[in-house]
Amino acid sequence: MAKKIRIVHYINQFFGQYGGEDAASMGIVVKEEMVGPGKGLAAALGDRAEIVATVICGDNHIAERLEEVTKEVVDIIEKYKPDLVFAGPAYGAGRYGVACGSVCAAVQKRLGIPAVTAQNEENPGADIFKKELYIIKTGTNARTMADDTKRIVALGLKLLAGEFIGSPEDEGYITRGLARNVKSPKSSAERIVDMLLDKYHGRPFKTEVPIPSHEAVPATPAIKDLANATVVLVTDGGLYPAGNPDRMPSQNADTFRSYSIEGKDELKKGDYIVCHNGYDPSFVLADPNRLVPVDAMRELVKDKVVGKMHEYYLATTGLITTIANSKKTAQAMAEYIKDHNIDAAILTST
Amino acid sequence: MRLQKLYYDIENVVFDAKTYLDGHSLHINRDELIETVADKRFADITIGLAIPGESCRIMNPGDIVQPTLRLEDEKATFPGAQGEMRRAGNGKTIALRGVAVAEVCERFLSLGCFLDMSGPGAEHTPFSETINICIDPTPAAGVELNDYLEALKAASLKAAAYLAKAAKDHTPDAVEEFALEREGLEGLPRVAYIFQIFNHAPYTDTLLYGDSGLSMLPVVVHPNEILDGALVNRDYGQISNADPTFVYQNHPMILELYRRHGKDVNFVGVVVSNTPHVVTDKNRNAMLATGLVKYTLKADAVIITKEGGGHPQVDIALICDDCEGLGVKTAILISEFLSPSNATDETVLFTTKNADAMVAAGCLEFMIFPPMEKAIGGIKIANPGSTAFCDPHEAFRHRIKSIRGGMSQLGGLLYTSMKY
Repeated sequence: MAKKIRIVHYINQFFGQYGGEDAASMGIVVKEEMVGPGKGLAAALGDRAEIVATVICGDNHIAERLEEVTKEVVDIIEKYKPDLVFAGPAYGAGRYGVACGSVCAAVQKRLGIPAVTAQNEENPGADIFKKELYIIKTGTNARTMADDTKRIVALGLKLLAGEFIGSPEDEGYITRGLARNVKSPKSSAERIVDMLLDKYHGRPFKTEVPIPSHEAVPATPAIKDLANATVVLVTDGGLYPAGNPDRMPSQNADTFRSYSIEGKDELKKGDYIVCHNGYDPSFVLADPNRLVPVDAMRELVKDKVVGKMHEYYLATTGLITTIANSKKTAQAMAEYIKDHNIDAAILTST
Repeated sequence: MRLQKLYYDIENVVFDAKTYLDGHSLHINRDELIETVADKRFADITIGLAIPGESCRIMNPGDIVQPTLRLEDEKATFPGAQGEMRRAGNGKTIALRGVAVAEVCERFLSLGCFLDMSGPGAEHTPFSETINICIDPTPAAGVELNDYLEALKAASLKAAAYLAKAAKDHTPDAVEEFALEREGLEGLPRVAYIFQIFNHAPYTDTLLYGDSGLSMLPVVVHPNEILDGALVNRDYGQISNADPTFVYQNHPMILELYRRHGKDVNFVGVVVSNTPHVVTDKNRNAMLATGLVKYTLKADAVIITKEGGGHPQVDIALICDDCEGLGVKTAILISEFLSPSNATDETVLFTTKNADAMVAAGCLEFMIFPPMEKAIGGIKIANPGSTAFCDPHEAFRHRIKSIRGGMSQLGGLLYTSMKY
């Protein structure tokens, strides 16, 4: 007979049968057997697997020091050398849901084995951890426990075997908000003609690419007195000092750097490189001022059109950059600009 | 316009003293092929073979071309780009199937790619199923990158015509005819196709009758012209975002529209459209492309596809808005590769309610590629997320779209992106 799959199960004080809110501060207890919902899991698993340990922890105990207690829990789980970890189901219980998510995410990251939990979509644990985990979708209470545990087991075994995980509808997990490549029975050419004809004839159809809703960014008011303003030059064209001392990336940057231009009338050819895969950099390399117009700004300051130029330029790489990374870079830049009493920024792109 | 493609199925390629076709075996005189593609910008030329199923990785492949010869006018094969400037799309044309000419670029390209003939990477590209005759020239000393690329481009086109000539006077395995004139088109929706090609910089562009599309305005062409070699890919700067010429010669969107022509679609023609850099130019391009669809082709509905990466999305969105504004129904085919994290809230960079019918030709995803025994090409390609380079004999993690042929936005692939 094949070796049995080793499973560790994480649950809270309530499902561990220690009590409700009154027992929520209890520390970690380990039982080398199945407890509570573990019985449902074991029934669904049959002979293939055994629950070698159940880790029970009070919801308040873990919620108050999430990172630290999660680490302690995973340390214990590791000792049992499991193949697979289950947590919950947590249903609508918020602290429990976060704990299950935190433990499963840490198990996957540290131990490199699959971990599955189950909870309600509105549970904050689902919101925080759904990108990292498969979370089986449940109602808000334990009435559906028998069915929920079956689905946890089915998904867990699939993950363990490295099998294809189908859509959220087919497998019953909470949509993670991710995309991946799958084969379709029809080519994209055939699908698009079908979709166009459905649209033309007024038949129902479903787009494969939902349109994202981007928040509108209001323009800042114009500078009233440019002659007394300090202006900073900012580029996302990937212009860095020769040798790229900060090892800035060629795409998808999540940070920026500032480089001194003090005492420079212009940016000299050869002193700078372009680290950006998205455009032909030959013109910029021949004259870096055409991307970061230090020469022109010096003249404008001399002619008193602009008060001052900030003596550093800010640089990042804007290519295939996620909105999240763009925001992160922009917020850090905005703080820099505020901290340095700068009134305006000129953004040059490529 | 009536094009007859004469297909010859090649199952075996052997080097021999003479170039000729023997049944399904293509015999190649290697020295004569080298002589055909020789150029003073090359120091020396190696001809390699990559066979389906073999543990073989082509490093830094450039364009891939289907061997073809226009029998009507042999000197005008790939007119403008390599052949003489005469109209393509009419008459009989030889096309060898099961075999392709693959350029191997022996200069570093910033977004380089690779092609595996077996293993998990092979499943993502149609070019693991063709016997690839690899033209692998090293650059002569002191030759600039773009000069080398120009010679490389010419080499693959010359090789494609040279090899197809072997099938001349042989009986084809199949014949396919392409003509828009058909019975029973009345009452069917008039469907046009906007084929937005990618033009970004010299050698990161597409050649229409040999002309770089960089300053091109939208133009109506007959679908047969594209199937018959009028359009050649030259996108070395962003090669992993580009479809090779082979895909234009067998354009999946055009073939599908031909397949439906007279059944549920009246395929009225193709507009080749552009991807300019400046907003005014993008608006002009969209306006003119839409105008051709609405007022010249008198289309009821239009399919829009793109090549390239991010900013061409702006062009398709502008065209989509303009078309819908004039009452032309639109559908868009797009690869989702904006977000390396694959988050579904970052699939595309435009937002317009008019783009409510979109088909995903896959999304950006990474996978592990196992080591391969044989390597063709000596350039190590960049490894995303690392300063190291990918060695063909070692395993590495890379984007699926960096497999040559692994990303196509022209309708051929079976992949879609599953939201999960």
